[in-house]
Amino acid sequence: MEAVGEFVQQRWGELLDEVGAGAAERYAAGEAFPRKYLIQAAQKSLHGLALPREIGGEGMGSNVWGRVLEEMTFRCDESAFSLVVSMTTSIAFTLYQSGDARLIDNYVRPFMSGELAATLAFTEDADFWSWGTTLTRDGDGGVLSGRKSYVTGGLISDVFLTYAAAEPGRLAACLVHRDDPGVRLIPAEGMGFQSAGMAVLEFIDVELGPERILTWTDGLDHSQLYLNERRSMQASWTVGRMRGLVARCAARLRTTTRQGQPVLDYANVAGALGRMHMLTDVAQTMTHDVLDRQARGETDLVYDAKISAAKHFSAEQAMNLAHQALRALGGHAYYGDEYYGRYVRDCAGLIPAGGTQDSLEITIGALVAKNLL
Amino acid sequence: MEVRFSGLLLRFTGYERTVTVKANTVGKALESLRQQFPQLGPVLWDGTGKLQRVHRLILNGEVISSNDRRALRDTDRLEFLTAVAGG
Repeated sequence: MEAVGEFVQQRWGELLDEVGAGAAERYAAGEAFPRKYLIQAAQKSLHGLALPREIGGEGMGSNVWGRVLEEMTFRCDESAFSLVVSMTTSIAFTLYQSGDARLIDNYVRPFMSGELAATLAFTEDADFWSWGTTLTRDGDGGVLSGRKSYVTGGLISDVFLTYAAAEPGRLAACLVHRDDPGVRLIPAEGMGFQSAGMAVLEFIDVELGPERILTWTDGLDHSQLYLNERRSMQASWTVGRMRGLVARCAARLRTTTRQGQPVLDYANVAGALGRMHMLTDVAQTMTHDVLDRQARGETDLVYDAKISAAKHFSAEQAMNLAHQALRALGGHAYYGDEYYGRYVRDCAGLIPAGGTQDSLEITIGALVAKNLL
Repeated sequence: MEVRFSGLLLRFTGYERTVTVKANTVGKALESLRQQFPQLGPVLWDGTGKLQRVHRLILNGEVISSNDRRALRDTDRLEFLTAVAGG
């Protein structure tokens, strides 16, 4: 990771410092980080890092990109920044994989240049088959109606990869633009990610041409191909955040004394720091392993149990780390440094995001029960 | 032969977990299910008529392709495992 760290610092270090400078204030005010930083990052070739050279990327692959994402999250106090960037890159990767030249020219290239930013419009407070968002056929195109309840980076994105109920039992996938007539973005109120531009996205009879509809019938498979890959990126982001917490916690503990002694001389405090490091190290090892497996083509493209396990473990341990930090740092973590509050609120969102922890456990359990793992 | 359902497919079988079909090939078993539960069709098959990739088809504990040609017996058991998660 040292080489990746140096690479990130060299190419984007200055930008990450600038983005991170106002993070705490933005979070407190509930303001999204400025869109200009997405453009600047793209101009420094962040978005095209993993994409192939023949379309203007750098061809470094998703295993390098995952590590860069981790490192950016570790280094930048504005943790929403890498999260939102990764939404665009994941969608760019999905559209590139379609092999559709029109999608590559109209979306993937503008994503790489920073001209457009994209995110996922998936979540409703319902299962797939009970979604209220519908895409109805209208001539060659369709009409989209409904509401997505929590869209990461929605307020600062231009394109939404949207999944909707179509014919009975089928899901459709389509691309919606923020300036399409009938699209309405409303700031979403959630527990965390206050600077990530979270949005409620409403569709009021949005007319979509056929070129915007990726599939009328196979949205279930389409979504799972996207979300499976996405889970390793979520794990990468989480590991970066965990590393940040451990580093901040250790720095504080090194300068803290109690009863006239350095607090790290207390065995329980040193032990807590050791546990935090080990948990982070294991989460990182699991995540790097799945990134490398993905690069080697060794993962199941629709549902990979090891990717799900990396997401699950990192999300659980991110919350565990917060608990450990509160115990080791005492009141300081609760009222002395707002960083920990942001961390807890954001990382709580990792439990439901990317497939709830319970749903991942159930599926992995079913695979084990049938002797498939 | 016996066909077992679980997870999100259950709502499309009227929450029947186990059904019996008369079929001597996987293809015929799937066709029989399509007729017995019409609402299951769009969930199981993609727009080109192939089994959607989120579903794994398991015959007597072995993952098989929906194009599997082997002859089936009444004692065989076919199961679906649907691996999906949200965003």
